[in-house]
Amino acid sequence: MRLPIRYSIRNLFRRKTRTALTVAAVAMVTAVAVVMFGFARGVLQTAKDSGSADNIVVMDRKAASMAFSKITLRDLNLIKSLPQIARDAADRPLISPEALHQSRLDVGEHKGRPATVRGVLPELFEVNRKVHMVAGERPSSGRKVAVGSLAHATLGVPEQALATGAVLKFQNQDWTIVGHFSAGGTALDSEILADLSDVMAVYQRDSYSAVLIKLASVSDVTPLVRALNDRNDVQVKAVEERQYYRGLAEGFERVILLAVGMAIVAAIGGLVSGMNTMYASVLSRVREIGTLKVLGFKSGDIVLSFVVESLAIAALGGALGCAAGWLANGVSAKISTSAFTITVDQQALLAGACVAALIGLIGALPPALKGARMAITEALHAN
Amino acid sequence: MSATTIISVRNLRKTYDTGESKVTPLDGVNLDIAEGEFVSLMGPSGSGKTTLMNIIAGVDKPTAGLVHVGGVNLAELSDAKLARWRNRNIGYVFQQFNLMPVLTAQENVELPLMLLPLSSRQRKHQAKMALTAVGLDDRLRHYPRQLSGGQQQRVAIARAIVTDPKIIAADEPTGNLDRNSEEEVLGILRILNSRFGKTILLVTHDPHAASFAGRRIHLDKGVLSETAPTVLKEPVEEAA
Ligand SMILES: Nc1ncnc2c1ncn2[C@@H]1O[C@H](COP(=O)(O)OP(=O)(O)OP(=O)(O)O)[C@@H](O)[C@H]1O
Ligand SMILES: [Mg+2]
Repeated sequence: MRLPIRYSIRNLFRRKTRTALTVAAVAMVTAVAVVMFGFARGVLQTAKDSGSADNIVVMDRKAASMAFSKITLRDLNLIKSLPQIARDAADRPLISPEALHQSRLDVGEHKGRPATVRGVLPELFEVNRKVHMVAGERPSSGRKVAVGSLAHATLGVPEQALATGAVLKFQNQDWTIVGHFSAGGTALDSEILADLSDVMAVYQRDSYSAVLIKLASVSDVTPLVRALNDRNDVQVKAVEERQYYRGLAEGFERVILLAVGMAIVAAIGGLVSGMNTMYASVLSRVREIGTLKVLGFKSGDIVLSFVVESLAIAALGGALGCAAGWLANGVSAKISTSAFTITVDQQALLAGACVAALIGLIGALPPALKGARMAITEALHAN
Repeated sequence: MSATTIISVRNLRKTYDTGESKVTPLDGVNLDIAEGEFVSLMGPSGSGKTTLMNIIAGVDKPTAGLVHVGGVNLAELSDAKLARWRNRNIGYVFQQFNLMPVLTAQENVELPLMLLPLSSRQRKHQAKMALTAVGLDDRLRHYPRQLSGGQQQRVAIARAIVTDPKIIAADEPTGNLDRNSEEEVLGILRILNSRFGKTILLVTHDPHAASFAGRRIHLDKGVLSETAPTVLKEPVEEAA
């Protein structure tokens, strides 16, 4: 660094308004990048955390998704008798038949909110160990339901609207909230759990959407999945639970791409703003540049000085943007009937810092090179 | 002339080609300046005075001809080497002072020293000495906008001499100054020449300024001519 850093920094204060506006622009872009990155991480985290290695999801072979899947009682009984299934202390198989419905429901004065209602048995809590009650009771017959920790975000209602005792309305019935559960950051967090027979009754179905089973040994998972898929006497397909959620996450890829796209568009905007500022900075100092060269400074010294100037703007904007983005940490965002927690961790902040630094660097180089490459005599003629 | 030649210009031609037109302000210029001379360069506007000085100072490049300064053929230096050479051998003074407005007087004077292997303390010390030499040791922390034109030009002179170059190239250094400041600046140049042995090339429109020089050269239509040092009969266009 041959030109003093204070020369770069003090020049920033020569055009306070422009500098402030550029800092603000970089801050906004950084915040968008941090939040988008945190959002993408939240989505991917949910997919990664969902599913346990010794679980298998069994669905209807013909169904494209769980919502259209139908597993008959006969098939359920066949599955139940599989010897690989783990058993609880009472020697009951760890198997959780579920009835899944995408539903529109009313929460108090909030009407027609979309959500996933999952009819389950108490066995769910054995098979899916991530699910546990944080308050109140488990769902039970008599239309007593439990809501997930992100259900309010999915429904778009304030958290208090889902307090214990609150009533949800769907299928022309009242459902009372009796408990709150957490699914440990997995997809179930956005859902409403109800009693299996209640759900089957109210939706008038005699089949299950899916059956979740826990195996005694992880090494049985792959062979059993293959075996079930090869059987002709049951109309089911099996998939490792982890793979099932990974598959769901792929559906969110487009949303993530959209988020990334937004961040990129914002970044380009920030870049243009930064470059514009640096062009103005260079153009207003052409004669100074010529003078510095006469004194013996080389083009590289001058470019570096402008880069430092630009990076100072980027550092300030980046820090403000990271701070703003960090405020979004833990906030829930939703895609269709799933909600995700925006995860602003070190990596998200690092991503934001990189965006800010790149804007600072790339925004400075073309103007700085233009200024530094100008012939000295021409530069000295500028006013 | 008994002293050694420090500046030697041979058959110098400079053509500016702007695409639409060609201008040849210098055409076959020959000039020798001995070490320790105080030379003034006069001539009508656009006659190529600045161009000639810039070429001698290694700021501009000739189209044809040979320029040796301090025994160095400037054409043989790369841009980077030339920049380094300027830093050590030329003190350039501009008509518009060209100080960095965001730096104090002392910081401005320190700038050329940033390119030398000096400690921060040594730099500060040398800058202070240079500012003392031009009578501004009480203005070290002042920014250019807090100084008068004459003071700013003295800071610029301090910046020009701080690396102790052999040659001072001053392009109309008094062009923007009032009479008093002009006298001060010219007095400083005279002292730099007489007491410190600096070779001075002074471009000016002002016969009075030129009278400070021991040798006066006139440039017109690309050709140099010498005027007897003591005679004051310069055909200066603004004087008319
Ligand atoms: N970078 C350049 N590109 C094109 N033409 C130039 C350039 N620099 C100078 N010229 C031309 O060369 C000629 C000499 O210019 P120069 O600046 O050397 O004159 P000068 O004698 O210093 O004039 P002044 O007394 O007005 O400062 C002028 O006609 C000018 O237009
Ligand atoms: Mg000139």
